[in-house]
Amino acid sequence: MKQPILIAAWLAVLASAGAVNAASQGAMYETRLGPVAFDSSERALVAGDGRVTAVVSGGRARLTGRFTGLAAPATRARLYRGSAPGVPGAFVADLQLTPAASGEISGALDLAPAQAEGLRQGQFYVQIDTAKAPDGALWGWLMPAHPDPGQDVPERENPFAR
Amino acid sequence: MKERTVKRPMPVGALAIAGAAAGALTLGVWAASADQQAPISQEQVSAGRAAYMANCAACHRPTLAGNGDALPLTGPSFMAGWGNRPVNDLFNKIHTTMPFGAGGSLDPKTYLDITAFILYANGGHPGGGALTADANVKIATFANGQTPPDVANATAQPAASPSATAARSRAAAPEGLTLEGRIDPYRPVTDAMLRHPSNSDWLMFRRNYQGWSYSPLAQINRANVGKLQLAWSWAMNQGGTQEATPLVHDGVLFLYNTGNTIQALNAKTGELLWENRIGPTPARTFGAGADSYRSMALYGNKLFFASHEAKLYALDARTGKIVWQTDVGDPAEHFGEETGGVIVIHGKVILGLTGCGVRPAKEHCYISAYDSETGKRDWKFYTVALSGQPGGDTWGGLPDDQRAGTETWIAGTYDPDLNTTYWGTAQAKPWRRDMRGSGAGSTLYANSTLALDPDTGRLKWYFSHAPGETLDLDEVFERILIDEGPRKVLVTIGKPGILWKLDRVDGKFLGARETVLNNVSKVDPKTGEVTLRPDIVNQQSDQWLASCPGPEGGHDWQAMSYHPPSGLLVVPLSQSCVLMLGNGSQKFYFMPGTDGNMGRLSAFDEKTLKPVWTFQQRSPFLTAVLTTGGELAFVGDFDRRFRAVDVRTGKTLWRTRLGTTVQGHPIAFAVDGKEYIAVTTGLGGGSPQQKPMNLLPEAHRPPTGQELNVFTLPQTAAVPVAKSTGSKS
Repeated sequence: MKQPILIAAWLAVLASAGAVNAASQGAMYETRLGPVAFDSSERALVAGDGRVTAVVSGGRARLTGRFTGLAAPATRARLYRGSAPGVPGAFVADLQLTPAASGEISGALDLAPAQAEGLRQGQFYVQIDTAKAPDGALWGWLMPAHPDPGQDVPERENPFAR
Repeated sequence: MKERTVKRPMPVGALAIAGAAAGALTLGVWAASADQQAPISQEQVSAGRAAYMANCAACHRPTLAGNGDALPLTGPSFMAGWGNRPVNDLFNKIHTTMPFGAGGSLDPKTYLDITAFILYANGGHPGGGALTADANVKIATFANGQTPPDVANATAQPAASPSATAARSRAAAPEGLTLEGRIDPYRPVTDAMLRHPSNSDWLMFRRNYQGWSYSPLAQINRANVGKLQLAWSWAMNQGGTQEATPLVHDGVLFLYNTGNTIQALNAKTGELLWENRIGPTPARTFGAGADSYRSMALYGNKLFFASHEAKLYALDARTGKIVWQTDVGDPAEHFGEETGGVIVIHGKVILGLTGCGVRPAKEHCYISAYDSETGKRDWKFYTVALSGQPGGDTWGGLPDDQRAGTETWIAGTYDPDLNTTYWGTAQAKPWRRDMRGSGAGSTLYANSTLALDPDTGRLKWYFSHAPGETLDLDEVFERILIDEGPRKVLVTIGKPGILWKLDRVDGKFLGARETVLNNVSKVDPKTGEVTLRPDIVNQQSDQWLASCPGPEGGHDWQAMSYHPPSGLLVVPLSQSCVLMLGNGSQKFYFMPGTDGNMGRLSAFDEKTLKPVWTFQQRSPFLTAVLTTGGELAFVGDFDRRFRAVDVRTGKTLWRTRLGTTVQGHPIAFAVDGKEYIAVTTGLGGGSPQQKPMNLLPEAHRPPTGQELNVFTLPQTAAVPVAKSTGSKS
């Protein structure tokens, strides 16, 4: 068997990814904020929950959301971009947030065409830092909005089955 | 908005590794001075050695070499993760998280002693004063990862934890043949029976040679499953890892308990018929990967199983007496473990081996076959291609003693017409190839499907699913055999969650389908070739790599099921991610796009691999799927639920809540015209338990509760059977 590791092929597949597929105008993305990657000794630092929605219209993305239950007051919220969903990456923009354990988050930014494509690919994520977790307490990757059928309710579509 | 390229944001606690190590780390070379004394005392080292053996060695080994999820605590891997961190970080990590599942349960002095011993085991010389909890000195200033001979050669068996519940129960438990059976009459199990098992029986791992995990019984069906009720339950040994498959033959249920206790029970009433407590009992009540065992087999008058210590036993199925026993590994060299189970083909008992991850490797993993009458070894097939052998050039030039891993920890399947047995293999070790030193090589036969002649062990063909794999995403699980008319196919799914289809005659790639978010690898749908994410290709040992799915999978040992009447594959899936460091350290997080749901049950059309239905839930599934002629699929989860769904729609039709995590391999059987469903509850295991334990704090489970639960309908009726589809069963 061949054993190819083809970087160009990987990039081509990313560019034509089918699992994340949304129109560039008027598109809605959402994420549930969960703990930044932690091990069992750090669990208490990454407590909390939240949701963020991003609506893209006219090349501009507007983000709104809420968070709750942080282990310490939030100090910063930012938008980042990695190479794929679930891959941490580079800073993109600061967001506004309530400097408390619970509150709101918001922001807006103009997207370059490559960034709009990256958003469609699920590369962007929101991260909230706190005083106890300055490297991140909550994060979540913005993915195309998808109706939630509820716990253990079957549906036809699996966006990741491709 | 223009992006600024800044240092990648690091998760909590990781800064010290990435920042301090940049440009400073040379793999395997730590320049601590031989004269530099460590901040540990000899008294602490001595006490720590004893405490380590009592509390840690069962998972991390007496030599601190590690085993799977229990990472190495000495050597280059340990130093790669901890060399640039202060001592108090190590103490805090151990104190808060260990023993596994019971962090903080020991007294602070014991944790200090264990920490001191680990530092000694990495070349730290006592004499710099007693270790304190706030010691802020960097480990690499006095330790160099060189394991002293007394640690490297340690062979002492780990003692029981004095605080463990198992210790108290172990003191009271008898050993040996505690109840001799007299099952009479007993019909010997024949080759013909194994090829065409009675609908009432469950004679092997996933019921048939093809590994379908399907029972044709249809008395329990979509219309009446809502009335399912408990018929009887049976408390099992506590401790170790519960992943058992009960077997049933002519109304007798055979059950493996942790600690190598084998029992025969009346399948209708739950009455104990015989019991042999072979031992040893598990060293701890709760631990990753300890003492798991997945499948036994019946043939002739015998019941076959292999102990965790890789000793193969033949018991008289009528009495429970040991007929013969033989070593599969090499106990003198402490080599080899067995967890996957056995399959019997043409009177040969065939099984794999695990626990082959230690380097330098004195031996390598193999699949081997034994005469069912005598226990004499018939053949061996090594799953590692050595220098000069076919495939030996795929290990990046590593010397043979550095080629480790490629375990087989799930029993194989068998095609009687092709006379071929199919096995999956695990990854090469260490997981991360930057630590392994094998480069981008496919490290044959790691992460492969192997097709072997069961009479000789000759390799007919292989397919490498994940060349250069590096994140504990092995492809070792069930190989299901299906006939699509004249075409003979094999389907399998590994931790990456890629559902593979191969031609089982020649290994040709036929198709693939991703089933969960996968940001690690992409498979070409035309060729089956896999490409890795660029940063994974260019990995550095001090770099945290993101992996979705993580080592929980995707898919893990919880087998999928093929349902012939509908042509569906019903697959239990998990959804979680990790950041992984070069030494195997992991940080966990939820998979993007899942809304915090770790469990997914999905059905795919076997012919096209297209998705048919799917549902998510918070808790991952920790049993295999059982499908039945009653158009049902049964599955259990981490949060104690066991349910039946409509196999064609995924709609839940019945569910119940059991004593602890529902974990194991459910089966269906019939006695006197009445159908039963049996499933075990239990604890223990690696990533499938560890990830939800960390990510789902709301899921509370008792630390005990390993049990067999048997369900049936309230009324007795003749046992209908699903109409034949023409497929072999």
